[in-house]
Amino acid sequence: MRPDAKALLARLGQRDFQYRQFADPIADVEPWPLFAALLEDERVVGRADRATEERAPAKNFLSDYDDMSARGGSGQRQGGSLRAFLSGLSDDHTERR
Amino acid sequence: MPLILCHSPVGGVGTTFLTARLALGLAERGHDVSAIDFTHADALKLFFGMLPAQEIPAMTDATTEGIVVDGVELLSGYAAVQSGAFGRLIARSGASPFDSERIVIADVASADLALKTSLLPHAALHLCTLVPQPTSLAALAKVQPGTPTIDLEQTVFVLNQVDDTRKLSRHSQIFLRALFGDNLIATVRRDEAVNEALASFQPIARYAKQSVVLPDLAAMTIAIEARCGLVAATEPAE
Repeated sequence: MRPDAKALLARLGQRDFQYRQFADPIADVEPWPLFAALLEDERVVGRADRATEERAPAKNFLSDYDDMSARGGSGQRQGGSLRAFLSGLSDDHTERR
Repeated sequence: MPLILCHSPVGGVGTTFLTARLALGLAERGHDVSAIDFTHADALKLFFGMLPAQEIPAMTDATTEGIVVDGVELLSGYAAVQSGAFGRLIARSGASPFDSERIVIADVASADLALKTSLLPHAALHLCTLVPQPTSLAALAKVQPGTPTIDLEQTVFVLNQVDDTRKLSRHSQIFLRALFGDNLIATVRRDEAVNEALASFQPIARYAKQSVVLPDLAAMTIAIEARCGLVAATEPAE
């Protein structure tokens, strides 16, 4: 809890206040074209043929993204592939619960 | 003791701020810390309550008495780099120019890629600051040419100036967390009190003790300390 919120609640005598677990924030994420561009940039994510190699925790999502990119046309790559990426985030978040 | 290299491909994202706060945080936890300002802007000292006209000793000048603020030794490295002395020092094969007894945190300007490249082999950790803005995010492609950014093992990212009331800021945080996982080592929220404290020549903990950045910075310090394999000698007072 933020220290200023905690201090205010303490002054109000509200010591049992607990934050509510809100819905999955992934649902709120828009497919920003910038994010899609970064996911297609080899300087950021490496080459597509390395998608199956062991990487940071994002490897599953990047693999899904690369598969979607390979199947979709160039006009559909950005939005559709990013949605697949974000969908993968949501699925992973659901599985972790 | 490790060198922590603070450099971002984009300027104005808070690299100097985080360099200073990391140095202060580690010193508060009992470590011996030196913070070296390699930038022409010479702004690191401001975060230690010094005036712009006050000078900090050059790192290669053994004749000048050192300046220690809140446990952090402050040094300037700009002149040494410009003169070539630092380049010659660091080029000595097999030798690190840094005192082996202290943690050294280096603030390197975004445009100074040559210095960043020369320091990186000596660094235990590269701290790259980002902000949730398109120019900073686009610069993810520029962190280390020749190596995909998500493959950088020596680099950790701090997302600075996060504002949860702004959509792109929230989404950037989620995106970067998914992209980098634990290599997004910390997020620091935006608080104008940081600038106000700086303009007042006061530490943020005194100017605004309820500032949201304080717990964020504490968490960042602990995470970086652990990442470097360091153990706190003392726990800071509550």
